[in-house]
Amino acid sequence: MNRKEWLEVGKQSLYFVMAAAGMVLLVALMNWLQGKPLEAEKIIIMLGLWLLMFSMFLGLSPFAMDSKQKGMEYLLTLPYSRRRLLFIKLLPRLAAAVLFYFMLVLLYNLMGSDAFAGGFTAFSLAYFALFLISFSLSLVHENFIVQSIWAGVALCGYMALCLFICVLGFGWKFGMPSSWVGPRPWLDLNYDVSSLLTAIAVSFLLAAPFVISLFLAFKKFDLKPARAFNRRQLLFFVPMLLLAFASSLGVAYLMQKSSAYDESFYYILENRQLLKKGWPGKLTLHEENRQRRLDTKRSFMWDWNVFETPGKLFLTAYDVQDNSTAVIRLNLDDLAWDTVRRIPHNYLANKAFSAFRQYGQNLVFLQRSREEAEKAGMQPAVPLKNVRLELVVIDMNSEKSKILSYQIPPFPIRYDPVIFAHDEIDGRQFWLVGNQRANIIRLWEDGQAEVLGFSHKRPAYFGHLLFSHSGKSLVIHRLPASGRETVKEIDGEFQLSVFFQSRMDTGNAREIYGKRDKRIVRLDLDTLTMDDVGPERGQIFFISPGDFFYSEHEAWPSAHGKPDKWRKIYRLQDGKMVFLKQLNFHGPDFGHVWIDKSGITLRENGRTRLFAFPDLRELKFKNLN
Amino acid sequence: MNLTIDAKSPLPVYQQVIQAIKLEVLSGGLRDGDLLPSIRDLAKLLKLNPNTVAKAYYALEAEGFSENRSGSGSRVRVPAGRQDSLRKAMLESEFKNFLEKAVSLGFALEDIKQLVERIKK
Amino acid sequence: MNQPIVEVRDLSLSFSRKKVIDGLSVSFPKGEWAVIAGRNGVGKSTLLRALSGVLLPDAGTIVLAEEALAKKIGFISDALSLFEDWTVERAMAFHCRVFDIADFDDRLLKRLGLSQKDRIKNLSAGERAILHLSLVLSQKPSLLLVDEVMHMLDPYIRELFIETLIEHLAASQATVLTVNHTFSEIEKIPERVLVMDGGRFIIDETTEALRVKMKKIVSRDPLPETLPCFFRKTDGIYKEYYIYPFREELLADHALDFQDIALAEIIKAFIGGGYEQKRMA
Repeated sequence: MNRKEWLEVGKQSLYFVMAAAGMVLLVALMNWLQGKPLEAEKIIIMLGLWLLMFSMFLGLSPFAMDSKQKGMEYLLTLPYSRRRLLFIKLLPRLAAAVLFYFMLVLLYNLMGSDAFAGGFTAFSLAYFALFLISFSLSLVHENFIVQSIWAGVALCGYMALCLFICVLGFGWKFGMPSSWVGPRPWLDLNYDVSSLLTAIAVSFLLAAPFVISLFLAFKKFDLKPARAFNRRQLLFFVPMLLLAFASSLGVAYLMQKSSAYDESFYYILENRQLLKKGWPGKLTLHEENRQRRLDTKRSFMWDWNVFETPGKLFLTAYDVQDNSTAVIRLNLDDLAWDTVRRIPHNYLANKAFSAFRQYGQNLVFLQRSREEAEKAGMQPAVPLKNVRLELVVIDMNSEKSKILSYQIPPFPIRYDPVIFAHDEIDGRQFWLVGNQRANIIRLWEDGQAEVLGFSHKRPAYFGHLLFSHSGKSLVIHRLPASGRETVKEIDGEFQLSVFFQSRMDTGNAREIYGKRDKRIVRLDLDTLTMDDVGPERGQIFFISPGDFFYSEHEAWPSAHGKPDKWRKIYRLQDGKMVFLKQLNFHGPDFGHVWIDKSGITLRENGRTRLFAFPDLRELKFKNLN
Repeated sequence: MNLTIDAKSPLPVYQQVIQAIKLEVLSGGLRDGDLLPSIRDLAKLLKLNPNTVAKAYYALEAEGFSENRSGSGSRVRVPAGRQDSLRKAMLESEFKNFLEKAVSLGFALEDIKQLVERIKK
Repeated sequence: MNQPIVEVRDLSLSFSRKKVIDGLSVSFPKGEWAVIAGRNGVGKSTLLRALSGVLLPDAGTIVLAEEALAKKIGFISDALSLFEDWTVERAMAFHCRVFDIADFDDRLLKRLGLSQKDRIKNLSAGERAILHLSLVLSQKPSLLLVDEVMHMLDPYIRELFIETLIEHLAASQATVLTVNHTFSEIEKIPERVLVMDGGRFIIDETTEALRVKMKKIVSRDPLPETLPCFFRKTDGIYKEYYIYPFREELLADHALDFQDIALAEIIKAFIGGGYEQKRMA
């Protein structure tokens, strides 16, 4: 009887393949007619969906032909035990499902991009689950349409349960409330071994009751009264599902808790205290031998901004309840805190963490004018197409704000205006606003807005010099009382990574480091000569007031597939790379290295280690891990 | 060969088979030395259970009316001297049936005798 | 070897939430031909399905002798189920592969002029029955279960069917259980009669015994109370009374004409009696 089943499956698979090939050819033809290159991603998605449908069909089909051909009774007179019959039906179909899956994987890898990453993993689990669930429902009804509806419903319920448990798992792993788990943990699923194993375990545990209930119920399969059989299968299914659900929860809890991933954000203060921002809204201030906790209620989600003034910290946070961003001042001695300013979500001109900047003892950011922000029907996500902007400066000592209003030409979609400089000339203050593929605009303190020119890449202001990109070269300007003067132009593909530093005080800088054509170069700010420093194998960091650091990666450019195992940190000084430290990460979990102006956070194996700039010595805190 | 089995008769079928074969032998349809049909063939012909036919054949052999020589099947034997007594026995049983029938119709013995004379003529 | 070919103990089976077989016990020796009778829907086909393994019992056991396990049970159901789109050739090849049959006797098929390329769905009922019979007999079964197929066959095929069964029985010591409604052609064949009612067998006797025990009286007068009447038909001028169980002594007490009846009528009487009891209940 094996031959009959394999033949049947073979025939169905052939139809499937032909249809798939037809679809691919159609897309290819359309692309060719439109003169576009082959849309490989679209094809993969299309084939994936088609394969999902086929897996459901394969699962529902084992008895379809037999029953249509009125051969069910004959089938049951054959000298096979019930269990053997089901296996004979299952094996060729499972083989076909596996084969086509691997063909899709092959195609996906040939495509080269890892566009779907963890999403593909989720698809794979859903694919096999759908097959098994459909198989277990193959005797639910005689009508194929009804069967597929049941299969769809069952799959939705199944996926809901799996998702529920996995999201709980993420919550346990990252120590955050489940409702805050977003799509990112799913995309990282391939590297997050514990979550991956949890997802696989949960998928199979929850799929098992379906299949087992069929095998158990089939022992008493009557030819006609389907309802009695369904009831019997359900009677087996429900307790097993409860058991599977409970054990999945257990498995998820154990696996995720044991590899709990600390998603807290660490910031090393100038006084070498450690500020730890965790979920939800918790703040802990660690000193060498003690820690102090601050719970500002669940409603705040801390941002990455930390601005220090003597004895005080200014932090930004997202208020979950009313969708606004708050600037909060925290006293370092008694942890008393207060909201300095609240900015409704649709007022902010730039939603990224780069919105807030510091110069001297001032905090500055851009917001829309009231009329613009409160225009009816305006969504916060709508890009800045209007031309009324307000600059808000908060004096961190007095905690008072000053608002200056401007009218500027519109910014392109997706590139929100970013403040990247503050300076003074002849006693007049100005701020510079820009982004890649946008104009550089000088906002004078008297309310004038002056367009200084276009920059293809993100501009920079360093040591009183303006750096812009012409598309094939780096252009260095000086800023007189009005307009800009080109001082030098250097050819090459440049990348200056100083655009996003939150401290804008760079007046005393003597040198600037950047990347040109895959080399690290140094520009002397007095002589404007450029020197080669070394090969580009990582990232350059600028730590105020004038220190440049370079973090060399094991794999560069970093591929999404293979996580690194080490970083080498150098200091860039006087045109030389001075080796400081090598950071190794071991362990099954993806090592997490975070470098910012305060220091380096290294997460491995659930432990967190901290290294402070400029010498990168390791700081120890009690009760940190 | 003309064997009839009465489906209604309370007489066991195998008995009827035996009687029928004996009748066939007596009337000359089956002669001494003739091969009896195989169990299978007779069963198929008469639509009988082969077990029944087998039972009849064993009984015939036990009574001496056939002998089964290996390989060639059962052959009819007409035992010497038995023929007459057999014929007589058969006639008697037929006559008995006839008399019973006549009596049930209300005929007296005298009427029956008269009838016999009339028919003989 | 006196072990029965199949022994059923306390079998219970529900079908569509109805208890069709309820505590049924029976055993069949080797080489016996038994007929199972009963009114429509009483559960005869269900019993055959249970014996052949198509349906599994709710309670009770079915014990099969060594010879009757798996491949040696032949079952011809009243649905004559086979894969409709297949050709005769494919069905034969499949059956032989599954049951490990080396040589297939297709004389019957040739006799009816069936071609190997004919599709099952295009065969007449008679041709299908013969095909089924050929398939089943090729397994050389020790236990043959035949459901109500004979009434569907034309007289020629019916005779062919019966003769083939007889031949098989003569060649082997197979046990044959048939479910019948029509008895004309097979009146003299079954050695045992079982009548099913209320989920079990109410009658289980040899045909010989039944022919002795059941008699019929046709008369215009009402029947004396003392006579055990199992079933009566009283709508016409001539009333038919079926006496069961009949004893020789009754002849002495009553000057009535007790007629001998054949198997078909005997069974009809039992079934009729069943309906009568149901009416009165």
